[in-house]
Amino acid sequence: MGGSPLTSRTERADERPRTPARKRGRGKYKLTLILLPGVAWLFIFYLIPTLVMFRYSLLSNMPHIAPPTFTLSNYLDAFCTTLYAKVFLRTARFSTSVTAMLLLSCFPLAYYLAKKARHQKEILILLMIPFWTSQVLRAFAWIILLSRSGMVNVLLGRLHLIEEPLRLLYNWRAVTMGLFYSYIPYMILPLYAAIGRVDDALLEASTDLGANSWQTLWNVTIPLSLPGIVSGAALVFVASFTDVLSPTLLGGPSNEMISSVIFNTFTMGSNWPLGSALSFILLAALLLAAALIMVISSRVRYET
Amino acid sequence: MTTLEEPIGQDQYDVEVRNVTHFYGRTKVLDEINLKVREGEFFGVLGPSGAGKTTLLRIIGGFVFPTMGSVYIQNERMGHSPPYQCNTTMVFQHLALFPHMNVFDNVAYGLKVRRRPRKEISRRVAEVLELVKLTGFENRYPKQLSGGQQQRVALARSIVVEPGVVLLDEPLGSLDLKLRREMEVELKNLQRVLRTTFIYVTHDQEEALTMSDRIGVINEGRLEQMGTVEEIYERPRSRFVADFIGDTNLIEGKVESIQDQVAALLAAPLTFVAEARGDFREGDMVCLSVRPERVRLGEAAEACPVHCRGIVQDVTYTGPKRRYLVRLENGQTLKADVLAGEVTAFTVGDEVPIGWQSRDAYLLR
Amino acid sequence: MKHREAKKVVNSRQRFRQYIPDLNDLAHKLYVGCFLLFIFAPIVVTVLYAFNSSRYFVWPIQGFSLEWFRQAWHNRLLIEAFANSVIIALATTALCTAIGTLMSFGLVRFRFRGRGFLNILVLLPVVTYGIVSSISLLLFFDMVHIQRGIGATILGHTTFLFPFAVIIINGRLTNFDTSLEEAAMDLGARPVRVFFDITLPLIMPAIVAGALLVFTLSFDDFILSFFLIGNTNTLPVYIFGLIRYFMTPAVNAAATALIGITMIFVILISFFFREIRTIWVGV
Repeated sequence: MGGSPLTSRTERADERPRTPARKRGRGKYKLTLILLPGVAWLFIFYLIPTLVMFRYSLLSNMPHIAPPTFTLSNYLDAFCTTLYAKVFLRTARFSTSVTAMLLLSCFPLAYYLAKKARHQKEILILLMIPFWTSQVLRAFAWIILLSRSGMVNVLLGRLHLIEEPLRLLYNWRAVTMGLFYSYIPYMILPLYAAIGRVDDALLEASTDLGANSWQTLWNVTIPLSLPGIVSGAALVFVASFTDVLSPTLLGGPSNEMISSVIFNTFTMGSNWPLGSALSFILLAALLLAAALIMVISSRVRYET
Repeated sequence: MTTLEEPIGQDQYDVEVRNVTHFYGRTKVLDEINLKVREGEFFGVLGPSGAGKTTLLRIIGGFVFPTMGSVYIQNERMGHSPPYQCNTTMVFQHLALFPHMNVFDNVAYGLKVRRRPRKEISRRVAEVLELVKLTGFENRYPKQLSGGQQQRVALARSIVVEPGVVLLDEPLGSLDLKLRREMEVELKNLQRVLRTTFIYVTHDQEEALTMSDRIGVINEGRLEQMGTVEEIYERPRSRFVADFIGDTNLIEGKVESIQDQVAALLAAPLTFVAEARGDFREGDMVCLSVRPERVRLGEAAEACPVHCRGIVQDVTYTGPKRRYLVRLENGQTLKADVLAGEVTAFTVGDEVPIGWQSRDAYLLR
Repeated sequence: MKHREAKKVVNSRQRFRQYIPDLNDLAHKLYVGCFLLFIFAPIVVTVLYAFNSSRYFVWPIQGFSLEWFRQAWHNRLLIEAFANSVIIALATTALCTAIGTLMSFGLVRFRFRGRGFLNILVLLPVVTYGIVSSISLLLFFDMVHIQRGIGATILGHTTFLFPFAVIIINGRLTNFDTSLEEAAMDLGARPVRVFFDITLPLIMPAIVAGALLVFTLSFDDFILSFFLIGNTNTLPVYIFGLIRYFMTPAVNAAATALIGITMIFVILISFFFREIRTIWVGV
């Protein structure tokens, strides 16, 4: 009766209090009860573990070897060793190139889907089907395709484009391909949504005023679908940055990305505190990127 | 602010609103509303958008608890009763038909909740559907119905539970004109048959005037006037009511003299004589209201006790009548409606006599 | 309809400037076709090899055989991993639906200080899902002495998947016409009754869509499961192990099974496609 979510009396929160204190309390009580499971869950299983990881990153060694002390040495290692800096840079390079490739290849597709295709929804569902499978499978599929006697090499050989099989696996080529493939939906969907929101009438107006297709594309379509371009690129960049499977399964030892480094630290290596430090740095970078993206997105919107 | 006194015994009121003032946040939405609705009456609440009429309705229906004041339904005070404990049902503006239930289930819902036996429910639903002329539509879903049919389902749903009062929140707003006029007639007939009290909120004055037995006019949260349709139209008590209901001419001026409820209004350089009911005093700045259809032109004007001369500014032919815009010496322009049948062939630029009977004009604040 | 006519007019105007508008359209269609082929190729190939009679991954396929499926069927570890995946996914779905629905109601139906903050907080797990989150959970469970295994995995999955349920249900709930609930109350129904008669049926599509999505994501999850499952496996984790250490087409058989199951869910989900689209558009 007091603050039930089903009555318009929730508006009462703004009105001059007329309900006796007992009823007012009951309303808040209901709200707390409803939100408690989710908030408590997030607190226990999300926030606290993050803090635990932070604490771990400040340890000097693994706890079971000897009682550890608190130190910043792990972070110093992370920032000052060229090894890790190189890994970060390499990861950034991979992410950037994959983002650019996806942007260029998916934009025409999204444009066609949003503006011209007749069976938009069906084609979209069709496109999404392969991505509902596990990432592991997708990486595995590329291993099969890119191996020395795999389909790609065989095809290229049959077409007489190459003399001997290309080494496509366990190097940067495979990693890039794996990343590219995995994040196609992350690029297509935001682009599709954004281009779809560009009013057809605007495009027609542009053509009516004398612009050809390319001019319309450059001057009207692209600027107006910028929010989608930004979110798609941001999503792909951030997601590919933390990707584990592509570098682990498809890459060689010289192609490690930061996530696979962390992964190896925890599976094969023993310096968990260092791994935690790297993780935490990655987390901070992720959150920073997310915040930046939100800011840029809000700036890039044109109100029609 | 004040109301007309109802010279009838208290037990015949179905709904009584006493001194209801309501705030929404810091905004005053309703200001000391006092009104009484008789049993079995079709009561219209009329006012411009945002005047607070829907809020008033929701207070009566139990959806909102008023900041100050109280509501009595059939002499029982409504405390903190939520809608499901009130003896009222509401027909919502956008109907709120349950999309996942068919017509039968929608109409039967109130009875189902009251745990009536199945046979009784079937019988009553069938009866009420016949009343609204929707027999045979039981299995259709709301989205398969036209606007008018949806209206009737909403209505059926509200009346099948036999409430004490039915509240209607501008339900005809989304219909086109012709359908609306048809539904108005049907609603009125339905109410007569049922003899249930209807409280009907609208901003469309034609709707209110057509259907209501009595009307309450609300403006900016205040009840401006309450009374029968004729009273409201012929004897408006405030400038707002005169202007909002129908069309009128308002002449601003100062009271020059007043005696025996007849005043002389100075609207320099002209002076008009008008009825002045209420407390007017010499020197008051008031206005005079005279309806266009009561304004005479030509010979008829010269026969009137109140007349002067003016120049025709514009003539508009609207089918049943001609509207003349006549400019007076004091710069004011008056609207005069002349039935097209009557012979007055004035054109723009003509100087014409214009006047009216003194009983057709009255002073208002 | 009017739109298409307008487009035709525009195109015919273009016809005078460029002679090949049709080719443009054709090229586009070809591009889409090739793209689709590209996207499906890996999956198709994986499934194809499951039927390959040869042990090696050479192209073309040597012969047709169901041997690998037989091997997979008798592989105790594989079956166990599959069962684990199902159990975990079901439990996760149940938890996520419950928590997600409650959370969504709390966020949409009430106004309180910190609501904006909470809205962002709920989305954070989605952003940081990946190795970072897996590590933090690993360390956390280690510290509070929660054993790794199915239970821990369920807890981990729920944490990162219930925001998806929240987002989807939010979509339905924010557009919900509350006057329907008012009408029900007006007719005499108490709030609890209104919830079950009116509110729940109308948001059910969103709840189901959310549940299907969560199930699929949980079933397909690798990174969280890897760190939290301990001594046993889920299907993706098992397949990962096989890929790394022991590749035979039996892996393909397992993979095909995984794909098959996922496909069923995708088809189911596509019925609720409208609901899913809201996540992406929201992002």
